[in-house]
Order: sequence, then structure tokens, then C-alpha cells
Amino acid sequence: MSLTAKWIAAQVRRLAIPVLLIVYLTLKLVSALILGDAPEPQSPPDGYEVQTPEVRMVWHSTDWTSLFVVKIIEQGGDFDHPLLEKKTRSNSLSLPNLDRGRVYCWQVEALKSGRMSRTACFRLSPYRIVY
Amino acid sequence: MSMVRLLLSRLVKWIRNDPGASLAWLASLVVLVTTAPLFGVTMNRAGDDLYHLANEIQVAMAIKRGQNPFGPLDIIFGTPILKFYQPLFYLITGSLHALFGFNIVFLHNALTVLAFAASPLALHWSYRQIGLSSLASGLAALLTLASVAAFGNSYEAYFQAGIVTQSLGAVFFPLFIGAFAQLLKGKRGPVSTSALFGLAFVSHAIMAVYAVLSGALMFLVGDFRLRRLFWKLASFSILCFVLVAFWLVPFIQHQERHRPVPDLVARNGTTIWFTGLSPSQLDQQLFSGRLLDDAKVLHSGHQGPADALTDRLNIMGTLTLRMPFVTILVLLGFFLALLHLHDFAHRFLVSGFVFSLIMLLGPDDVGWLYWIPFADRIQVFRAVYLVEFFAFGLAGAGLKIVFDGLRRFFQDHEFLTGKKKKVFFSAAAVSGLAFLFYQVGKLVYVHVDLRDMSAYEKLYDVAKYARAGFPLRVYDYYKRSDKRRNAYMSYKGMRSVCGHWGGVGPLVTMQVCTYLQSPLKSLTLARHLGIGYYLVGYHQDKLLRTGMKESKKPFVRLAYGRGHYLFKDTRAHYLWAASRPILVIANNAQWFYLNRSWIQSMAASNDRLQPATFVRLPAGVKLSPNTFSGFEEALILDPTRISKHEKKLLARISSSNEMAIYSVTPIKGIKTKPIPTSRKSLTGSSMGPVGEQPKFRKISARLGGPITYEVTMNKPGVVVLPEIAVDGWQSSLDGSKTTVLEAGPDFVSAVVPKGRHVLCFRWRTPRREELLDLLSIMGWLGVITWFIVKKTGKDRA
Repeated sequence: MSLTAKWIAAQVRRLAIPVLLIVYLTLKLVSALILGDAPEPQSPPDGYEVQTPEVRMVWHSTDWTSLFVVKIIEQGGDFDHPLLEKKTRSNSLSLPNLDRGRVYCWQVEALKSGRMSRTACFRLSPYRIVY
Repeated sequence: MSMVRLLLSRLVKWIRNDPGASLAWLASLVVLVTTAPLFGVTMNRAGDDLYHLANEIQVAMAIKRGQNPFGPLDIIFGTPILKFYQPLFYLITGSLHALFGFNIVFLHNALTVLAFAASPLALHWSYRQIGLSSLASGLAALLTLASVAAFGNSYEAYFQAGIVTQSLGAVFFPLFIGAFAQLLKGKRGPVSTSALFGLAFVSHAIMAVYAVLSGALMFLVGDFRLRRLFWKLASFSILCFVLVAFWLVPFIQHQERHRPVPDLVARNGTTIWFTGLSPSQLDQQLFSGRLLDDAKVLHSGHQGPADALTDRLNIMGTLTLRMPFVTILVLLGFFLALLHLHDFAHRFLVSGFVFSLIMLLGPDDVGWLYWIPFADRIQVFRAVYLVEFFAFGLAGAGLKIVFDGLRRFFQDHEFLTGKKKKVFFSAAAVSGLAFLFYQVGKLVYVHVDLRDMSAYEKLYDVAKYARAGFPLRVYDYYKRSDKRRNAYMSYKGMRSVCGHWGGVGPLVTMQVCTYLQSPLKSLTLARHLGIGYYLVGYHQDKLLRTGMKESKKPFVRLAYGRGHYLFKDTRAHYLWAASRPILVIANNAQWFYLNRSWIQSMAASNDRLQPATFVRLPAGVKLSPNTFSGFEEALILDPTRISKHEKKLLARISSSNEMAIYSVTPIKGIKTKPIPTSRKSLTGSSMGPVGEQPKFRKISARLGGPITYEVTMNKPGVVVLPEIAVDGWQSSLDGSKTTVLEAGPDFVSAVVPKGRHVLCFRWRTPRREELLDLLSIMGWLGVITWFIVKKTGKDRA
């Protein structure tokens, strides 16, 4: 291997990790600065089974002044034709009348930024707590 | 006198060779002077400080009695005390107290102060070994006096949150980093490096993680030849494992089974500690100066969301208000270091700083962090320490570059020459130092709150509690939260069932503790679990209520995100309610969810409660006919680990109707019943009230010794010992060995047939742990011998 190639290989070995880390974090921070965070479904967690008959959906958003649109579908459904669509200024929404034993998926959109959350799904447990 | 002279001459020599060390010594001196009030036997009120003190007392008591201090003398989150986060601090103070009789409060305070004082020196040495110049390292060490947020190794961290044991890690972690840099450069051998690694590792669990991650990062960004270092690194790794094996293996096992996860988190609640910042939040916190300096307002009730987030991230509010000068210095250092990436020191500091910020984002934002062991379990606020380590290094390096630039500028332009230059630099240095001292002084003035121990003697009638008998738990419902009181009670040998922070692991969740706040519910639970007395704090309830309020705030992140280990295993919930003991064969995740449901149902049902006693046999444990004696029902949640032989046994039992076997899925060859899911299906079954309570007569019961009772049962049942079912519990019935089971949620229990019997529980160190202890003891003895031989050889030479 020529001296130049060796020198380049040494530089790559030295700088690859720092440069990758710096670029990764910079992209994360800059994109967040420009685009803002999309709302993040928090509870129930994705894939979780809910016991209580009333489901309280909570999401996170840094844009707390926004109006949010929450859409719920049954698994396999289409978000263009949701079972339920509600607007709220809060970061949570409670739904008392969902059917047990079914899987529901939901998304939240922050109207101010137009950012849509990822889809999270939960199953309403078929079991009831017996006292 | 000659000794003092010798030490002084060495110090002068050190400073002459390494002038920057004078700044580190200055920082150290400031720490010693400002914390002087702590050199006494009074308990400080600093956050977790008292809680650690209580643990040290337990260890000291064990050593004094000749008991194994590694055993479950006191249970912290279901974890035997020395397998908790920070064994080294406890071991040092506990041993010194037991061996020499020094007052343990004094030892605790003295070790805290000394660790804080040694920290700037350790940092200075570390930065020097990485490759920073003397001045840069000294400046970085001096800067550590500035309180960074409310965490990390700062005064504020100690006085606000009682970060005592981490302060010991803040000495050994930098020392290890420095030593490891020397090892990679071929200037140091593996023995001393692994000894420092071992000390950092057992000083605090988080330092263990950081030591491994930072060591790996250093290796990756350095220009080191693996082939040349292979044998050195291999022997270093083996020795490291030997030195920390006594703690590492059981600790990881306990993390899996009894990890302290506050219930808010277990329920995917609203704490940010476990989720990290989002990228937007990191932008805001870092560039507004809140991350490396402070939030603007404390506890005034008028904080903006960004300031409130800072305080939530750092566990609690900070008490200082300053310009973001640390932020400015660090960012300056960072950008200047980018121009010097060819240099290893700068490259390592830049990479470390960026990596530690990525850790703050957490695995929910940075998916690849899941590939890093334990990254999904690190509480975010603890990552602030790692941020600090690299940030101060960068700030020191940046300041040095600025100084050099100014010096050159003055020289080139013949500006401020001679005396004027000296005056300029001296004035700048003095004002900088004055500012730091002002900060420190202010913190000490605000935080230090010492109270004489005798005040507690008057306040609390300890004798009353002592008379309550075994177990040493006192039911004492009080309205005010007073941590000192809890520590004082521990000092007197009493302990809290719910322990510190309210949560005692995924099984005994915070809900149990909250449940105990209600006298009505607690009596039901106590009767059910067989616990006589509790000492219950108020803060758990307060925590929950705060959590509820916080859930309405916008800065809330998904707890752990997808893929967290708590949610990786079988997710099914199995709900049950009855009033008899039921044997459950379940894996850890199933047991966790079962108990959570059970506790939730208890919490919701008030005095109508008639809960089942779920008694667990971990899936995979060998089944025998004796296993089922005393049970009328068994619930199999995890049939995957039942062997063919065991299936035959179950088939025989189910076909002979000796016992009803319930299962979620049909098991081939076994007559199983589906799980009842409504009240109706339970009616008419054998499940009814427990009936007359069994009678207990104590034969012997002492902490750490055998616990023997004469038990009179009116019908077969489960006897619960209110201790967490960690490995090592053994039981015997009328002299014959019986199976120890876990009873709801994870207390030690055994099945006792009808009639009068002698039941004995005893804890012994499991054989595997004995071997690991022995391995580590031999390792440390070997290291000490190596040092002595080396030193003797040097002296002779």
C-alpha cells in the first residue's frame, strides 16, 4: 500500500467514529430545529394490552400551543376513514366506549406544524377484572 | 513533622512539573473548606444522603454480627444491599465502623467530603493522561466547582439529591479513564488499570456502564493497534471480570427480576427520567444554557415549560441563577476542538461529548442505542455526569486555546506588555475564581442543614417501635415527609417496607406503597400478606400525585419507547380474583403483569377485597408431587418449560381431580380448565373466604438468622414471610426441607398443611454467589500483593 493510501486509511480510522457521531447528532438537532418534533404517542404504548374499559391516550409534543387531531381506526382500517376523529388542545384523550378484545390503532396530528405522529396500536383486553 | 515536610515537598515538585495541578488543588481546597461543617456526627438533610446512610448502617450491623453483608439484611428494591447500585461506599464505611468503631455518620460525611475534594484532582490527572495540556486540565478541574444543573458531580448534586455514592465514582471513573489511556498508549500494565476499573465499577452502577462505554469509545477513536495490544487487553478484561464478578453477576440477575422501576414508568407513566429528551428539547436545553447551567426559577410555581423541564430532567429544582458561562465555554471548546481533531485528546472529548448528548436523547429517539447493553435502562439524569466529564474537558481545552490566542495576540501587537499583561491575566483569573467561589459558597449556604442526632431521640419514641417485635417494621402513618426521620429509624434498626423512592421493583410496585397509605387498605393487605407492621413514608403518595399532574404537561415522553425490555416478553395479562392460595407457574414477565393486575384490582376495590394469594413457582423450576401439596388450584401461564416427565405428572394430577389446573392455552395430555373471566364462573367454586386465621407462635426470629415459627393451620395454606424472595431463601417444615415459593407479589412463602407445624425460613448465600465472592476476593488479594511486591522492588532499586 502506498504511503498516501496508508495515510488516508489512518485518517479514516481515526476520524470515522467522531465524524459519524457529530453528523448524526447535528442532523437530529438541526432537523428538529427546522421541522419540530412530531407528536409522540406515549400511552398506551404500542402493542400494549389495556385492561380498563376506558382508554386514555396520551402523547407528547413540544408544540404545546397546537391543536391536535386524534384519529382512531380498528387494526387494518384506513386513517382516511377513521372510526373516530377528535380535536383537542390537551395532550390526552379518553375514550370510554371501545369494544373489548379488539385492536385499535391511533395517530395524532399537530395542526400547527402539520406533523403527524407514528401509528400506535393497543388491544383492549377481553378479560375483566373480577372482584 | 518530617512526614508533612515530605508531603509538602512532593506537592511542590508536582506543581512545579505540572503547574495546572495548582488549579486542581485549589478546587480541592475550596471543597474541603466549604464542606467543613459536614465533618461531624450530625446528619445532613441532603436528599438521598440519608438513605445511603441508612444502608451503610445495615451493612455495619451485619459485619459487626459476623453475618454475611452480601445477604438480604435489608432489601432495597428487592435487592440485597451490596448488590444495589453502589456497594463500594457502603463497604468502606460499614467496614471502618465495624473494625475501628468510628461513628458511622462521621465516616459517611468524611468519605463524602474527601471524595468530592479528590474529584478535581482525579479529573485533572485524567485529562492529563488523555493528552490535554497542564493548563487545560487544571482549568477543566477548576471548572468542576461550577454546579452543572442539579446533577453530576457537583455540590448541588450532593446537597440537592444526595449524590453521595456517585461522588466516589467521580473519583475512580476519571482515574480509570486516565489509566486506560495510558494502557492503550503502552505506558501502563493491565493490573493497576483493572484495579481502577474495578473500583470505578463497584463505586456506582452507572459508573460501571460509563467506564465500559467510555473505554470502548476511547479505543475506537484512538489510533491504537489491536494486534499489539491484544494480550494486554485480554488480561485486562479477564482481571476486570474477576475483580467485579462478586457484584456484577448477581446485580444483573437482580436487575432482571427486581429492578427498581417506579410504577409510573411500569405503567408507562409520565416521568422523563427514563425516556430522555426529544431532539427539540435537547436543542432548547443545550443552546439556551439550561443543560450545562441552570434553570431560571426554582419552585416558585411560575416556571416556564423549558425551565420546568430542566428541573424534571435533573430530578429536582436548582437553587442558583447565573449566566450560561459554562455553556459558552463548553461550546467554544467544542468548536475549537473540531479544528484539532487530529489530536487524540480533542477527538476523544468531542466524540464523548456528542455521544453523551445522544445518550440524553435516549433509545426512544435513537434506535441504535438499543444495541448498546443497558442503554435502555440508564436514567437520563445520570447521563448528565458523562456530559459533564467531557464538557469540562472541552471547556478547559477551549479556555487554553483562547489564552494562547490572547497571549500571541498581545505579543504580536505589543499590546499590554510586561506588568500590564500580568495584571490583565491576574484580574481575569481572580474574577473567574471569585465567581466560582461565590457560586460554591452560595450553594453551601443555601443547602447545608445540619441537625443534632439527639433531636431525633426526643422527637421519636424509638422504644415504642422497638417493642413492636419482628418483623422490624412499624406501622406508623404520618402526614409529613421527613427523610431524616426515616434514616434515623434505620439507624435504630427499623426499615421501611417501601423503601426509598416508593418503588420496590417491578413486582412490588409503587402502587403497593401507595396502597399502604390508606389504613383501611393496608390492614387488608397486611393481613393478607402476613405482615405485622410497616413504617410508611408519605412521599410515595406525593410522587404519584405529582406524576398525575405532570401528565397534563406537554414535556412528556414515551416511557422507554418501543422495545423496552419490560415489554419484550410475553405481554398477556391474566386477571384473577379469589381468596385462596393458587400456585402459578409463570415466567418473570407474566408474574409481573399478573401482580400488577392484582394490585390494581386491590387498589380499586376498597374493603370488598378478597384477593387470591398468588404463589409463584418460576417457570423452569423442576416440578415434583410435593410441589403441589397444599394447593387445590394451579394456574399454568408458561407451559413452554415443562418437561415431558413433568407433563406426565401434571396429567396424572389433573386426571385424578386432585387439583384443578387452569391454563391459557390447552396443554397436550393435561386436563386443563379455561381461566374464569367473570364473577359468575367463580361462584360455587371452592373459592371462598379464607376462614379462621392461622395462629403463629414465634420460636426464634432475628435479622439475618433463622426465622422459626410454630404454625397452627385450620386448613392447608400459604405462610408468607415479608421478605423479598431473592435467591438463597430456604425453608423447612417440621425439620424437612420444603419448597420456597414467591407469594403475591414476591414475598418469601411456603405451603403449610393443616395442623400444628414448625416452619423455619433461613437465608444462605447461594453457592454460585459464594464462588463469585471467592473469585473476587482472590482477585483483589492478588492485586494488592502485586502492588506490594512492585513497591518493595522499587524501594530496593
